[in-house]
Amino acid sequence: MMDDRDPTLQALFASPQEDLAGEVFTMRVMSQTDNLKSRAIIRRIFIGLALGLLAIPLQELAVPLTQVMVVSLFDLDNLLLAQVLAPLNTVGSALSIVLLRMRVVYKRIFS
Amino acid sequence: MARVPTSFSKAREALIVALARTGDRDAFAELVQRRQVWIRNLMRRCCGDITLADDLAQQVFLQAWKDIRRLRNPRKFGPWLKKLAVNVWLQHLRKNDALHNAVEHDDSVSSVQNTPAVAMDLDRALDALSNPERLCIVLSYHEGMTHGEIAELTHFPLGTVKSHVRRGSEHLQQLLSAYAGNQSTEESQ
Repeated sequence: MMDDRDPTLQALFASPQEDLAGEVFTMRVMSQTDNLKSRAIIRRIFIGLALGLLAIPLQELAVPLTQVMVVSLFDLDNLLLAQVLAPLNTVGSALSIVLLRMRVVYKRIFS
Repeated sequence: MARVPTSFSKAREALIVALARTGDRDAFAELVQRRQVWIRNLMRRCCGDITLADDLAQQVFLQAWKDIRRLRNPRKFGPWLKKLAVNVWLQHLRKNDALHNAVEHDDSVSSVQNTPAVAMDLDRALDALSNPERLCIVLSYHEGMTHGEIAELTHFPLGTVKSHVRRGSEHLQQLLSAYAGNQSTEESQ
């Protein structure tokens, strides 16, 4: 359903607008996209190099980190309950929830 | 220097969008060429400054280039681009804290109202509105969107959109009353 609009204003807005020459504008946009592309390639190369250089230290860090992530937050006596809640009852899941909440808050504030 | 291709000039937009999604530079250039008048005019209506409008329009297309792979339905390129344009404009306003200056901006309305209405054209009249009012008016009249669509696009509450459009229309009617007079005279002749 269309909302009521003032016919006079509608007529004014409907009046033909400037037919803007697009060649220069398009070229400017495309040269900027080329810059973006080059920057993305350079960024990928740097990331690749960094990952290559840091592969061994990262691997060494990952092992103890994964061990910490699976540590239970609470000791549950009930075996069934412990099994059901196992995916949530870990340091890793708690961290994930915190990170997801932070992402939601960030999106609400900045988007 | 960048070259604007002509090979896509007769192709359907959905096809060109599908190609641009794969990273085809020429296809994207054709999309820019086809949509630039619309986006630049929309931004001009929003901000009233030709240079700024062109800068913002460029940002819109750069954002489109970055995000075009996320566009699932190539047929919805137009509405998607409009959404990007509104987001770029809202981000610009937030950056400049302009949304919060609505009350201050209202003061300028009275000064504009004192100038002869005949001397006012649409863009100058739009300048007299607050930024949120202006955006809602432009989307309603320039883009022909319903209040619900505007609320969805801008994330303003529906009631706020309605009041922005109503108040903005009233302001514009006051400021452009000379045009209304001319129109009724033309109709009677």
